[in-house]
Amino acid sequence: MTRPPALRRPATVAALVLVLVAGLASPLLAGRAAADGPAAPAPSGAGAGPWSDEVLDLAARLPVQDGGRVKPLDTFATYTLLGIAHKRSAKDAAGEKLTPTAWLLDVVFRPSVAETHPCFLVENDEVLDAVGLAHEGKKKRDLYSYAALRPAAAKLRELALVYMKKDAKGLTPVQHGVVDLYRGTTTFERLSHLVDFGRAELDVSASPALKAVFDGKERVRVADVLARAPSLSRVLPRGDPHGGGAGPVASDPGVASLLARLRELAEASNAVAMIPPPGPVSEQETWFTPGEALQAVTEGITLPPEIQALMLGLAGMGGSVGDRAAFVAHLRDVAATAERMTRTRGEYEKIPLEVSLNRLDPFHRGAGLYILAFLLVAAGWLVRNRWVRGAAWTVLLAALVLQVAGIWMRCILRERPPISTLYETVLFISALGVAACAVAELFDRRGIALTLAPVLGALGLMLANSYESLKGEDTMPQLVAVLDTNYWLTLHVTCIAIGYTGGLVAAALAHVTVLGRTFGLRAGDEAFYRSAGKMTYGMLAFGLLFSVVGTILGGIWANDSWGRFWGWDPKENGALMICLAQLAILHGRLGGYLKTFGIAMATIAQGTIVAFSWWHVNHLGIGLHAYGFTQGVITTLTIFYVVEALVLAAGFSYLFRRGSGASASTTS
Amino acid sequence: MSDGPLPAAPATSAAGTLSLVARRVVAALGSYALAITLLLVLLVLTFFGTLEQAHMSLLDVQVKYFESWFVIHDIGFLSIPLPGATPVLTLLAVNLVVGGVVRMRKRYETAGILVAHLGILLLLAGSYVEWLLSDKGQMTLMEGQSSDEFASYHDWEIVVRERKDGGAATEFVLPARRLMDLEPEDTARFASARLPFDVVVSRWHRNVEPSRAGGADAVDGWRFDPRKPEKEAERNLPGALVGLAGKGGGSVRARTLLWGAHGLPWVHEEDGRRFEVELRKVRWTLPFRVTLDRFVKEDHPGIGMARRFSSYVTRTEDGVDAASHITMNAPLRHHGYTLYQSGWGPEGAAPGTPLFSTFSVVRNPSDQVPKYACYVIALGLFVHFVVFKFVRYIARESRRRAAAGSAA
Repeated sequence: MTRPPALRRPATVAALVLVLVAGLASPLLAGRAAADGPAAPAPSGAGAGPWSDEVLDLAARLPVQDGGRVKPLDTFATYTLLGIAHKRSAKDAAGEKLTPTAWLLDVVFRPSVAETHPCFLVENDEVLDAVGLAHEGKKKRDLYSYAALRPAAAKLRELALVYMKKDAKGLTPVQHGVVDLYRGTTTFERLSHLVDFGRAELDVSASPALKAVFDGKERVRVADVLARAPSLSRVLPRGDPHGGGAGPVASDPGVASLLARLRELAEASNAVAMIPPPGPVSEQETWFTPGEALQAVTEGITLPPEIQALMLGLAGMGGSVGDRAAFVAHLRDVAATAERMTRTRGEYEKIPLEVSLNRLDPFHRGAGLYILAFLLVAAGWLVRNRWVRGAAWTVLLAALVLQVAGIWMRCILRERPPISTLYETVLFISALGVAACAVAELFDRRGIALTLAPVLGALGLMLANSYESLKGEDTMPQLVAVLDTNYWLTLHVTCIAIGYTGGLVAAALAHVTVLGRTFGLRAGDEAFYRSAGKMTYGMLAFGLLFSVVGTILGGIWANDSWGRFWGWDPKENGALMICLAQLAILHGRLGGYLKTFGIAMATIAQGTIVAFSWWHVNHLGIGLHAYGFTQGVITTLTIFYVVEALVLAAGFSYLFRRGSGASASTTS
Repeated sequence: MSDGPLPAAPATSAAGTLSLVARRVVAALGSYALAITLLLVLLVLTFFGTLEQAHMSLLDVQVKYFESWFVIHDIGFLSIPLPGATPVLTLLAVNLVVGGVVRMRKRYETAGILVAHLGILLLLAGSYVEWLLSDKGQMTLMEGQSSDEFASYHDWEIVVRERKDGGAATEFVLPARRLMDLEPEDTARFASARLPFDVVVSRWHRNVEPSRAGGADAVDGWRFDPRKPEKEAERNLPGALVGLAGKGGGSVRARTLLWGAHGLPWVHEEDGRRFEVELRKVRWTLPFRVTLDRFVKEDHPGIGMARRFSSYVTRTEDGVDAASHITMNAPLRHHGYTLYQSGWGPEGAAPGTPLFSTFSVVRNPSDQVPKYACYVIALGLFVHFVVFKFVRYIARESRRRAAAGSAA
């Protein structure tokens, strides 16, 4: 065989790989440059065109409290966008790509521009038929702008409210689509009104008292109201500020009108809590929304100076979108004040790390690297070049390092062991699967495990990324009370996940034997199949050790938490089923009932049990580990079961053919 | 375990034949084939028992699949007969003892497996002791309230209480197990030397709703309409017709319908003696008293999700008070009883509203056995797979490579 000339030169191969790896990492480097470099002149102002790098960087680091934790605005933007577009980026009307933060800035500060961004994913155009919206010229699954959806808003709301009262499990995909679209548009609307108070002009001409407060001005902005809050409180009506309803009623019609308008604006500005309380966390943990701060003003409460400064900054940003310099100046003030306040409370330390994690985006980039590693492995089959193999190893390990770095950063951010959610099990299991294959390859250098490693890594990360997109929720949520124990999360959950890894990697290795034998690949190379068989057995034994211990540890945890060791909960049953399947296979081997091919077939079946236990039981809607019903997950699992059934059927056909061949040769 | 050929035995006498049969039975009981079959049957039972939880309460699933001798699982029109988990687990334990401990070749290499098998036996023994001897129930206390009793989740009993002058009471309790096993058409008669009548229980239904009715079936203008068992078995409200009959097979002279949701007992007076008859959940008494001083529910900031439930309680024993704190994953253990934080309410209570806290209460003599079993199993599997298999594999591979290198 003649190798391509370029591949004969190791340096060329290495350079090619480095370029590709660097290419995949370049957005990270670009992100850091933007973060650390001087504030370069923005290509355009805040009023039109893209946001400057400085604006994006300052905004990305703004702390907000959402989902029970303090996080950067960038994370909030990412998951809000994922919830609507099911993607980590959007495009504007002209097709220019927007980062989540840029998209959110448009929604909050330039809603009329954001309305034209096609960011609402409609999975099935029957959803649009249901709400009576024309969609000619669009694909069945397509993105729509808020402006395009607006004509159907009333019907969408009407249908969604009906469906939301029903059990989600009983809804059709179209009904799910209607509910999702309604939730998305509601979120968009709430965010687009977040700084209405900064844009609004208030008429105070009807009240001489108010005019006096505002130096004779007849039209003022909320920034003026905030700036003159102490003087204003003297003309506001006295009463019980917590009396409920619309609060105390003013006798001066002009004051009453102003108060009504301010309360209306306050009501509209509650989309996200971005104002930290001035005291320590122990005194008050829950942050305020801008609307709550504004509501306090209407009740005659004097805002603490830091909150006053933040509100003035936000109002200023809302009111100066057309003036780039003023917008950036206000944003700098807001960012500095918010950082100072959050730091004082000890809640800022992890914000930069989370922004870095978002920029690193290790799990999307890792998936790309795993695919590249697989392509290099595949190239290695063709050219049999040690440098190509070395490049495959390099890229594979780079992907693994990136993935482990991502997991590690998440551990620091959450102050938790690697696994506390279903999403995190995928990250951990795929990383461990890749590592296990890499170790196996070191012992048995036939390329079997090296081939499987990038496949497992890519599939795992694509699964994690798809699940993240599908759910459109923060993947670092707060945990329910019973899970608030790092001791048991570390011991039981990690152990079980290692057990899953063993079972799944064994099943993946078993495919080599079953498909190879069935389709006659490497026929006659018995050493190859012996190796595959040994690795399958080794991984199965590895999985059994951790599955058994992890399952019992789960019972011990349950005993400590609920007072019973075993409750036949679906997740417990799933873990038990894995142990039983693995024990049956190993006993079948010891008893001589299963040879290499039989073990491989049984191990593949065992892999489906692992998948059932890992994912399916959580979506049955029963037991203590029910995570709700997610249509995409069940569809994916069904496809997996069908594929594995086909592989097993192919295996049985091989057994049948081999049996027929043997009997034919015996007869002859 | 071994499926190897049996040693030839002379079958010339009856004793020899018996010995051969016995050895074959022992071999079958300890065989790999039986182990594999039992493991797979248990796997299938567990799978069906998991899916069935979408339609039945966990308690019913447990009874049907995991505490039964025989199961028929229906899939559409197909009915699949299977042995229940009771015979499967019993046979598995026998198989483990015979094949995995007694008959297993005791060699250096099998030490890990032997230890793991012993660990599994310890785990099974602990589970059996728990099933046989444990009491499980719950206790709900309002802030400031105290109690030394806890009630079963699912089991009901009928109690006949005689109140004496001065408030003292003696209780005659009809055994729960006999009641719970009754079918609606069964009649059971209970007698006690302390009572001047026999108690006759009929029309036992595990979940009923009373309704107004006339006719022969009605009692005092009421009857019970049977309802489907609830998905959460603890919400079932049983009902029964209870009659008080002359002793030794006499006829019924007073009767009533008892319902699980009745707040007050039925009162019957006879010969100047006053009896209260009540259908209630089975109760046990703790050797100490628990007072709920304060219940605290902490939420994650800005969302309604609870971060922590905490009950601050006082445990009183022999007049001595001791403060304790019960929270998720940190129960109170005392005198063989364990109190776990399991619930609270009322949900959505306004600030300042008194709260109640619910504790799961368990008495389980084998409480810590699974932990020790886990250590033993982990040790056994580690020794077998890591020390004997993996380390030896590496050593063998190294030798093979070294040999290949020197040959080259």
